[in-house]
Amino acid sequence: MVANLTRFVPLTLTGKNGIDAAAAMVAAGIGVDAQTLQGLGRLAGVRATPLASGETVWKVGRTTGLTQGTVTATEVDDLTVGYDIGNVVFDNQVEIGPAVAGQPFSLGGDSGSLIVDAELFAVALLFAGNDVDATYANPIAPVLAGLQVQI
Amino acid sequence: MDDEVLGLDEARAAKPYAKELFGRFGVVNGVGLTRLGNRYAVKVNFETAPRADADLPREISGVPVVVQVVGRVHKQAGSL
Repeated sequence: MVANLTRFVPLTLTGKNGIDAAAAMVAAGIGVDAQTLQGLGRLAGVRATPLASGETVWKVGRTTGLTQGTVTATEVDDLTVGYDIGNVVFDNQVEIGPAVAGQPFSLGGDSGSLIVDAELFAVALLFAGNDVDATYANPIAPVLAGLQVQI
Repeated sequence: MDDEVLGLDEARAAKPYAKELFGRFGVVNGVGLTRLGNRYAVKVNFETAPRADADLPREISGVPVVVQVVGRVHKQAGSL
């Protein structure tokens, strides 16, 4: 065991969702540096302003590692995402495309990656995608509010 | 990112209508905002490609529309 689940926001199948997020407490003895993004540097904090289409972003994920992407849409509503429990609909999501054609910004296993802007401010939390050219992420502000946590 | 971008309120207002309108051409999976130069546009994502001869609207109430076929979207979880 590496961590204990401490907080999560349940998903609903009957209405709209805003975030897919959870928090865990890392177990004693497990080395972790949550403030450093490997290959990028030290997290600068949380950005107060919303992302805009055309912005460049980065993430470090379990499957694809460090990747660069471009915000292709914001305020995406009525996004249906397939889960083991069925289809789940989200509003107000961020869409990110790959910065390099043919190299997806994210793949399965990258969910939970923190997405940062050019100044290493946290901007979104990755959770879904099509494995080709569209990644979806929750804006960071409702994630932190929903989990009642801070960075 | 500092340049003024026009038409945010208009693009937001067009989103619900875009879902309804483009839903006549296929399964829409997501309607958001994007930018074309210094203007906001509505982005409509399809799960499957509309018919090749579909006459898709290029704008709604003067707001440009960008279309993409994204296919099915799924949770990007992974097994341990």
